[in-house]
Amino acid sequence: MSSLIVNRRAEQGGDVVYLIPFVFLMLVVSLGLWSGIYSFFGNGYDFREAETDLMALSLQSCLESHDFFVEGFDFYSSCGFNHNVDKEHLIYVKNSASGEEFFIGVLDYLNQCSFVGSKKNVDFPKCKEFELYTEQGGLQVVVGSNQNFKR
Amino acid sequence: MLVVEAMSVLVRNKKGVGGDLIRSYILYLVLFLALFTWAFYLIGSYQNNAAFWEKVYSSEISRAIDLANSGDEIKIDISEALKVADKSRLIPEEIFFFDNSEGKVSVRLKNGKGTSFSYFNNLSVENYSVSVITEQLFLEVR
Repeated sequence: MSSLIVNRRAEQGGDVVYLIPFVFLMLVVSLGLWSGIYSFFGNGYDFREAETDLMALSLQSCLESHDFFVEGFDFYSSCGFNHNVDKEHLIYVKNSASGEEFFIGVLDYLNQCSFVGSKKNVDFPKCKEFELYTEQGGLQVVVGSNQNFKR
Repeated sequence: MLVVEAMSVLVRNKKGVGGDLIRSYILYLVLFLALFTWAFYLIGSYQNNAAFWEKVYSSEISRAIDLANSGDEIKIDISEALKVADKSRLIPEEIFFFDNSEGKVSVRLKNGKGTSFSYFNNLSVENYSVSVITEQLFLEVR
């Protein structure tokens, strides 16, 4: 009886072994299909760089008319941004003279955008860096976006 | 007597083998169907290039809203969107959606949820309409 059970288990093990090449074949077919479609259609439409330019444009006019480092400064109502910038964006302003910093969003984009290879890598956020001279003094500004399309 | 016993053993074994075969084939079939469904969905999403145009329109409408000021009226050419939606048998009223609470534009050019993109400008789309004659989307933002 026990030998029968052992045999039965061995048979089941055999079934699983037969399944492995089939699953492997399916994975190869899936990978081929996906890579074929991806190489033909590409990554689609990347809007992050354009969005970064738009944000920089809006931010620049706001920086020229507002002091970001004054206590109680309300960025959203003063600059006309909504809270979507908190999620997949970065707005970073540094006063060159005093060293004061102001940021909204994901601060790690500052590091990610500083990597040399990040400009060509689609997995990294797209950033724009510029300097601005206002009444508050020289400002270093970094604006970044990593917003992807949602289904 | 011996022959009958041998036959019955054979029949029993045959049934066992048949059951195992069906069970293993069902597993193969389920795996194959899962792959086929996934492939069908993937290829279907690129049908008429609808996925691409959904991205283009959702981001370009967001761009227009980001650049707008309160009280502006925006007109956007949607001729390509209407063509693709027509191929997917969608009526013009089912193409564009605006979520003011989340600041989001959704465009649907094939069956499914569509593609959405967020805008950062603190404005709301107060009124919008689609004109099939002029092939334009009209937006009023505040």
